[in-house]
Amino acid sequence: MSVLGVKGIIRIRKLPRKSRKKNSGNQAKVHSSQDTPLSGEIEQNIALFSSAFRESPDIIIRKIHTDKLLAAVIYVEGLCDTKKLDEFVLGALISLQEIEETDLLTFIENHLAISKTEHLSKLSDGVNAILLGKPLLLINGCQEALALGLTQFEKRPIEEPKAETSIRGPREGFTETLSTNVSLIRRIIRDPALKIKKLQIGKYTKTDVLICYVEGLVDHTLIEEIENRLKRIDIDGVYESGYLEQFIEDNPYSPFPQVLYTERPDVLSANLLEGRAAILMDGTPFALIAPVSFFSLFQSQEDYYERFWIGTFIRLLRFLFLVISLFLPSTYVAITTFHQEMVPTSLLLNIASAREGVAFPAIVEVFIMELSFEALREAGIRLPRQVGSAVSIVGALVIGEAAVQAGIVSAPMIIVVSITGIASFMVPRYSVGLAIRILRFPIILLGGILGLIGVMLGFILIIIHLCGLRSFGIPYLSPISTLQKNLYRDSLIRAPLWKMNERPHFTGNFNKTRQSEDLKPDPNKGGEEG
Amino acid sequence: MTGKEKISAVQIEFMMVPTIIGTGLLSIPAIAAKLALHDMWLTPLFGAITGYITVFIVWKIYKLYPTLTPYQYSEEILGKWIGKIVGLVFVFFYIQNCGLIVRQYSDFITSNVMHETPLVAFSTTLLFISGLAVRGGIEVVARSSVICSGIYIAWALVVLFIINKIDLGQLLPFLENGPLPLIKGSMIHSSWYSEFFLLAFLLPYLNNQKAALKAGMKSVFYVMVLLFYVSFFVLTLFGLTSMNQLYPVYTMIRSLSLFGFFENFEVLVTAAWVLGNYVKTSVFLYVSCIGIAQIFRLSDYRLIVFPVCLLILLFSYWNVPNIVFLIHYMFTIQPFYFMIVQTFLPFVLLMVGMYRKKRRGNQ
Repeated sequence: MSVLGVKGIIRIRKLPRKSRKKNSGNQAKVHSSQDTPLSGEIEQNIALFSSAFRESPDIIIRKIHTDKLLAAVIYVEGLCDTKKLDEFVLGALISLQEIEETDLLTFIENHLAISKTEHLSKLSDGVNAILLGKPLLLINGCQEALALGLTQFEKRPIEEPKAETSIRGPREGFTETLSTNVSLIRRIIRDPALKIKKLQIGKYTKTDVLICYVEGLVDHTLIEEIENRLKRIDIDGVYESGYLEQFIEDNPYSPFPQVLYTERPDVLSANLLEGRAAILMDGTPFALIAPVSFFSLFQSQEDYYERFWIGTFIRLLRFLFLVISLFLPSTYVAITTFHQEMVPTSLLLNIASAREGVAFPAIVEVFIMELSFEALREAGIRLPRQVGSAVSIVGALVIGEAAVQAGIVSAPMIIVVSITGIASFMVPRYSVGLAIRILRFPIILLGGILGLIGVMLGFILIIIHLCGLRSFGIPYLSPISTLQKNLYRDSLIRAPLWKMNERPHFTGNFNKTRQSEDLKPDPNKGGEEG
Repeated sequence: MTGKEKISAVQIEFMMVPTIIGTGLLSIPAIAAKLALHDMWLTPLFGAITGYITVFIVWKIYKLYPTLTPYQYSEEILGKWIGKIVGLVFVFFYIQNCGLIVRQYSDFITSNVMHETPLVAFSTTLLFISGLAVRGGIEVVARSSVICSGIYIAWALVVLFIINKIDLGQLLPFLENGPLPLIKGSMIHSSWYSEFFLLAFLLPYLNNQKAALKAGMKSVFYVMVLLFYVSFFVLTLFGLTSMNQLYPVYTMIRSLSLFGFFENFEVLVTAAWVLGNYVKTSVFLYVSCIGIAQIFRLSDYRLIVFPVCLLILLFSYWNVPNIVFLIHYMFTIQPFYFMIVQTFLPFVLLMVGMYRKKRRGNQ
């Protein structure tokens, strides 16, 4: 019986799959019918386009009928510069005195004061061009249409990056517009070696995705690998680079990000020059950088802009607080539950008296507090700004004294949770902070069951996971776990800039020298003036 | 079988050091003190000779068969069937020995840190995470041991805080009863130093063949320094009473006090010691698993990792009934047993192998 039942289930599951396949076949057919070539008859072409764009009131078809010429312009309202279209295209066409019949399209192209034009011969290409905001010019007697580069739409101006603020450093951040973002990078890396590959992803969104790299610095197999992984993405639409990230990761089950994201052109350019590749996407200010290692997630642009002592100190501080945010609550649970003798006596007495009135064991207490802290944090981000203050007031009460007085949690626990909370903001990359927030809970559980030994086992588990992880083939914990030469220079500490003569080992193998030797400033080197 | 996985010489050093001292640190000083009395602090130096000899034998065979593990070259050297039997001896030895390690680890924790938690809780968790690492491959074991051993060995510095309590007079009288007690004490060390034969299973993955001997010798040296360092402080702090303690190093760390405020942080040190034990267990587990896979020609050793873990768990109970028996075993059987399997047997393999090669060369 049971065997039969299983078979039945399998059959039921299989059926819809087959039907889905048929559907996709039908869709393909519809698409192929759009591949029809344009004809020389303008009326026929207009009919084709108006059938493709039926029930779209924002598509404007403007016919021009002078005694010399029969033409039409099709565009989407709001996606192109109508002023220029009227002035430079319609004006020019209407005022044409004579025309040359032999090569009509080129003749007309030569009379339009527009720098970017494209010849298109297929219906689908024409439709795509119109949807991208390029007005399409159809001319009677021509097999080809002319797409005019007059795209213009409302866009956000370049602003200071909101998610990666800094005190010292450029204030420009990426915007949602791809062309603006590319121009920002071009303004920093002014060398033809900066190469950009273009892809389109998403069946309906047809989002432009760019792979940027610096030729001569990057390993070409890496670019091919990134391109292949991106090309495999076959979905309806991508709305943020996070979509791409989750489709191209090496280990999709890992809580740790294997790709870095940034909205700062300076960070992106610095990474490009270290031999990494960047992926930019239209519609989001966040660009992706790959491959990365765990330690590059702890680098912030300001480490490099400030003096190296400060960069080193802050970086060490980050690692300290990484450990604290990951292990402090679990260590607290382990020590108060199993190893009270570790705490110095006076402190132990204080903790014991504070915990006297609390009903719950430490592990329950920690879970209550950590979960409510996470909830408050999440609520604070999602709520409309007007309600935000209400949340913080209630939050202060929940995590504040009322909870202690009610005997639900002890005062030391509040300190532990708040230090943990602050510590998790120390990581400059938000996505790592998220991973740490999640991992904290299983470690608390381990600490509550096996004491400090359990915490240590949790640490080893994380280390094993990180050691097995790769980002585009590069070991995640490199250069520390792989013991590269000069491994500490830009990982645990930030060495002086004049010391970092080589690019990072794994990404910079292709072209090692970053700068000339002996750059250490020294007044005696002086130079010519002596 | 070795595939594409490669590890570096320094990673091998990071793997070998905790593999030897992981459990050795616990009981060696006490047992050595029983035999060598006041000369206990010198035993690590003499015991290391076994280590150097073992590494040298391993290196000699490695030069003959640079891409094969002992399971594979024993078949090459001794023929298919005898070779397989020798391979099985190794596999059995390492599975049984790994059970011993796991038992020692859980015994230590339950008797010192977590008194009410059952043994099996610690045995299973340690075996589980080691199994995960071994399933990840030798590269994962190597990389994680770099970080784990680094943190583990850094804790050795803590011992320096007792420097104001030591009594150098405990080192005297020097060679009171002639050299014999010293040699006997060193024999205890030999059983741990002979574990350097494990190197032979890791060397086929080494990315730079020339660095093999240096890496092995360096790790023997590091182990020697660490054991010497620990034995020296144990002897000068406790004197001869150290021989009556089960875990003298642990007792030593218990007596530490920093600024009169931080006390009793032996739990932290124990937690760090877990790191070293994890490295040790994973190396042993890895060697056992590839052994079974290579002798029985399995396509992938990963499938049998967790079954072998279960077997090791059972061995950790079958091996020894209690800690007193364990100490007795280390005192009487272990030095000879370990040296026969890990130093003498490889020596035989080397001799036969060299003879065969010479004969083949003559023909």
